[in-house]
Amino acid sequence: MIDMSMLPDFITEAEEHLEELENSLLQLEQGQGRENKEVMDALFRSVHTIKGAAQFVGIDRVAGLSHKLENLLDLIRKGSQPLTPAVTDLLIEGKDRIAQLINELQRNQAEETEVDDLLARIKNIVEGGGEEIAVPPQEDPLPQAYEEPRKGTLAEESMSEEHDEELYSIFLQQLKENIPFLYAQTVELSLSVDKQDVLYRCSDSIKSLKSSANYMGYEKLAKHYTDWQKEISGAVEQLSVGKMPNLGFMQDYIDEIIRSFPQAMEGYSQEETERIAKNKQQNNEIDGLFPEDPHEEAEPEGNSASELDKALGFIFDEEDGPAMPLSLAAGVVDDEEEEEPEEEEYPPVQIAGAAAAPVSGRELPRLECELFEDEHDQELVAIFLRKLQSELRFLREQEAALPVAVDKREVQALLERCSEAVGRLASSANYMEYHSLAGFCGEWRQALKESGPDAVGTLRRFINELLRVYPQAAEGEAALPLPTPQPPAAPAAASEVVAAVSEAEFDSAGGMIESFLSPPPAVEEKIAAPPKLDIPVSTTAPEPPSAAVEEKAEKQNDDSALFARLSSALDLSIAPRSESSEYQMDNVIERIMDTSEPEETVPVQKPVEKASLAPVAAVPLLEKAAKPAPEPEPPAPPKQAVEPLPEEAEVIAAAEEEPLHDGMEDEDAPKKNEVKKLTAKSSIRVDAEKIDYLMNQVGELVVSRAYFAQLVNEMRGLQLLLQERARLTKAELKPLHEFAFRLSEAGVHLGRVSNELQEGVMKIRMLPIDQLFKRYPRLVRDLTHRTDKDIRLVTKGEETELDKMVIESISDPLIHIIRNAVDHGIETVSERKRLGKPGQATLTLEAYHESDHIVVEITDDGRGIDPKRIKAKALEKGMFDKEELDRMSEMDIIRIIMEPGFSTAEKTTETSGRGVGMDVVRKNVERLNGMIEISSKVGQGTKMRIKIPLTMAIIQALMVRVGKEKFTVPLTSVEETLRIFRHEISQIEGVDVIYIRDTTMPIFRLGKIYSIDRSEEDEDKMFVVVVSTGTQEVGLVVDELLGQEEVVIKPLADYLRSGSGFGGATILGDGGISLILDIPELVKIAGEDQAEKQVRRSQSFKRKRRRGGEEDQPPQAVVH
Amino acid sequence: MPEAFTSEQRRFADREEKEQLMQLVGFTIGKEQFGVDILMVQEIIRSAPITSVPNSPEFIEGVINLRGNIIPVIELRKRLNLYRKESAAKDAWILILDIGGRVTGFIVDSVTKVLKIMESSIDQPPDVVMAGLANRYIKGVCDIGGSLLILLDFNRILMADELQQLSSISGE
Repeated sequence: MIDMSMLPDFITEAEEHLEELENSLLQLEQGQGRENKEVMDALFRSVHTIKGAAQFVGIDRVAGLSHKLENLLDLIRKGSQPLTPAVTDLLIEGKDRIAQLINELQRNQAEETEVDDLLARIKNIVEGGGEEIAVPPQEDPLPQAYEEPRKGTLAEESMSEEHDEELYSIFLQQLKENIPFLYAQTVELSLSVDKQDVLYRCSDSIKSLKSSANYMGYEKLAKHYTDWQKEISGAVEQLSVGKMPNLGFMQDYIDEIIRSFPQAMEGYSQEETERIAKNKQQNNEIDGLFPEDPHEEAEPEGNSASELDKALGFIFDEEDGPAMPLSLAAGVVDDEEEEEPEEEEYPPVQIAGAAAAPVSGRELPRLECELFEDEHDQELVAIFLRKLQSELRFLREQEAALPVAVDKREVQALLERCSEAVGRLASSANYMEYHSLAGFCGEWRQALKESGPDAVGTLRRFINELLRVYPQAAEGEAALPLPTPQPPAAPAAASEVVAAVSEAEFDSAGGMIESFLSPPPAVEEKIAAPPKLDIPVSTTAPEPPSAAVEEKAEKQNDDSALFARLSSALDLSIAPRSESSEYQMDNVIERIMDTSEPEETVPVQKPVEKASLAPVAAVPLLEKAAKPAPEPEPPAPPKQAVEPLPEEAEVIAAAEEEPLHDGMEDEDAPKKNEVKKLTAKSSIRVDAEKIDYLMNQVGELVVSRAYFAQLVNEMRGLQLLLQERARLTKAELKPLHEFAFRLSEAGVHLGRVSNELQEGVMKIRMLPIDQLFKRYPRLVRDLTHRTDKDIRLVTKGEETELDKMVIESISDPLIHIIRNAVDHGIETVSERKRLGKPGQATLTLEAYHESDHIVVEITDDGRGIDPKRIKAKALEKGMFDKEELDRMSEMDIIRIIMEPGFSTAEKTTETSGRGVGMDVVRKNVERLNGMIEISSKVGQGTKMRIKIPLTMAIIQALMVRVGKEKFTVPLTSVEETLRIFRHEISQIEGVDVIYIRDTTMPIFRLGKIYSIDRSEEDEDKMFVVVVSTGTQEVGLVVDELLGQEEVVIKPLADYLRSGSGFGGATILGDGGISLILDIPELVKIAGEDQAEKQVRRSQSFKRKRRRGGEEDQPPQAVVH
Repeated sequence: MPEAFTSEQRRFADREEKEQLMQLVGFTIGKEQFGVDILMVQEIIRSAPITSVPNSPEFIEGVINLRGNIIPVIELRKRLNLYRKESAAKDAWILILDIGGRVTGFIVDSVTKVLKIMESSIDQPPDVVMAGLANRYIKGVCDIGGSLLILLDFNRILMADELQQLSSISGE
């Protein structure tokens, strides 16, 4: 099911990313990719964003395909898949397929093209090529050693490795997310007052399930969902009329699904399994996002990496569970987003209450941060967060009130209120489609109900969990920003760090951690306090991390008592090992987070900010500074994982000049993000209609400015009149004089302002031509792909801006020109070498401004156009006579290539040869009121010069008068104006022509074409406006030339435009209307008229009279 | 979502009410009285300077400048092939209608008043041609105090002219 409301946004977004993707792919192909991290990054960014968005909107094929592409890219990045041409081709093909699907979505709102073939091919490559690494790509955010303990689960997963293993797992995951949620909702249904709301939520959830079932082709299941939905809507209807429907069906439907898909409830009862599945997936995501992180980490660490791996493996072994304690799962991150999405998720962690209470009976449901989904709707997210904050505040108040409450009834009331608040939260989560949060809330309510005496603990646990995942929620309470997002490096860093905690160090590490929790009673108190106390902590004094760590080390040095306590605490944590130790570990980390003693937290957090920097830079320093306590360094890293602080990281990255950090690669990521953010902020997407409206109004202003000028003129006339007729003296006229002067001043000012406004508004529509140029490297690549031509495409002046509409309409012409250049102009490498040219040809695209026009030049250094060949070909095709050709200048001969049907190619090739291309070019350029010039030197190359007006909304025009009508001729098509006398006109075959500069030029009388009454006009003298259609020059006979003006083109109703020779209309200074001539169309009409005349002439007089009579009559016939 | 529900209900209720009572702008051409749904009427102006468009269909009087927008004006009399008054009335009115987004002016002889009629009182157009008017342009007729009001279907009027225009092109 595709979310139609999101679709347009998705399409625009995806198109942008596709463009980027294509660019990166081309760079990759040229061999810049493998080494160039940025290219790979860009690739991943684009693919991943498309995938994320597609999944969100529900566009399954795009999502599936982009996911596979991502996998393939991952293999390439790791070097396990050589970058063969076949692979790049496949990647490019994949990109094309996505583009095609998006195209289809745009047209038909549905995906039509199949993607299975590509999926299969990618799979082949992934499986075939990826043999060296026994694990599929999604496995390796952590180094190899880590595989071992997890293999079991893996195998289990791959059991379902049919054709669509990936999809199946997505499907299952969705099932797992939704079914428990539905279950919770069903329970809630019986309690909730607002049953409709709950039902709506269920319905939404079912909808998404249905779409996944549909996609998987599980028809029965889909039908099941459909029935379910029907039942729900039936129930809603009943509710709306005040009846109480039987809601038992909900349970039935859920049971049915659970029966068929027992896995669905797995997540509920056996959280481990689900968690693993999720971790795996999310690790994959992390991996896709921050590909280089592990390597970065590994680099400075050198060969210790493998040790780390081992250690890591050890830890996991020790912990005896596939569930990693630090399973860090980043939400799907959108690179364009700000930090928000870069959230971290944790596996459910037991958060003990005030005291480090033992694991309570009820496990916390998993909660994942889903904020990332809303890249399109920051506003909604903001509302949601506000809601979250206020509800949390409320809950906190209740929580605080609970222990004080004496009366049982009071407690009950408080709990009730909490439950309501959670319900509200759930509904807003639902509205945002944060299913996980919604499920979490459902669970929460349930827990509250059952909690009984331990209500406070339960409440707190849930709040803490929520806060951790949605740290923004606490912002409302804190003046200072909360530690929120995770710096990209952190997840990976964390795992490394955990690994770094070698066997021996493990103890001390744990102890260290424990120390933050247990020792000073003051701290303990603070742990118990709501997390708002964290805030100052996390933001305290950003100092260079090294210094901070030093400080910490020193502190530890001093505080040996504390250290002792740490050690003992550590023993505690080691002793129970096995499962519980895992929890303890989590616990410990969890509590560190809540720890609020500044001195202790600060040092720990510093490294966090620096992510990978900590293990590298801090360690040696530490060892120097704090010899007696070499251990403290390990605990820091786990902390990193826990408390991401990118905001601060950025601040520090900017503020700090510490040489230590220079060149630290992990800093690049946030910086890049920042840059991205800046650019994102500086542009907004606006409905084109709004701009058109504004443009219209500006047009109006331009018109009234002209009117104003006219009034000033009239005023002057009036002055003269008064002076002459009324014989007023100068003194008497003085006030009038002054007034006229002021009026003209005001007019000038108005003119200036409106000019600027006009320019400004026009600029809004302007886009850099880069948008266009970016598309062509791919074109050139495709064109040369199977030829022995080597072409370097150079673009210049990408920043030149022009109207978006113009950009779109010159896109096609440019394609044709480039094709021509590549196909006809540029020689093969061997031929070029023989001619003494460099083997690599250069094709240059250049754009620049030239007064009111923009010029796009396409220059190649190929063989050039040979006029002789064109002559021969034109003669051969019978397009021109020999004499005609002989008379033509070289320029004119070259222009022949733009005649339809002309081609010098001996045979039609894959790309060109039919003689259509240049005709299309000419037509398109003409439509834009533009011109095209070709200059070429044999053996040296060809240059095409396209000159187009900056905008199509306002044009320079020549105003003419015919009879009483005023017409507007676009100045771009006007060649010259002449004044002729009647006797200069002669007739050739019934066509009026004049002689001008030794050639004849046909002339058309506008008055005749439009049957305008010109009885009052002087028939002897007339004006001719010579217009050019690009190929042909004709004269238009008019009665008067009124002058040049800047006019705003207004659209005409289509039935007025077609066949009339008018392209639009414009409003004159006096409010009157003048029609704008569409010269090519007009010439066509006039030509047809003439042809008709000639036909008539050739017929017998009698027939001609009868026929002619009829043909003149039709219009009147309608009237009578 | 509950909001959506209620708003739908409200819309439904509104429609019901609207169905009961319909407001029409009455106008005349010659002796005939016509009506058009008030919701379609954007404005009514006294005759404005009309710029004729050569080579356009006969019934198109030209275009006018309505506050910066260029709007085609159709001589409704010609469009409907009604009997012809010799001299075009100088004091004609132009009804500016928004017909599915296409703002078009129609020249009529006079505009009478806003009429409120019950939806139910509108009858289907009789099979016989009324006032020489092809009944495909008629939406319905309504008896108003003894005289007959013809409701015009402007969508058809505008659509048909496209067809005609098309046929005239292909006939060329």
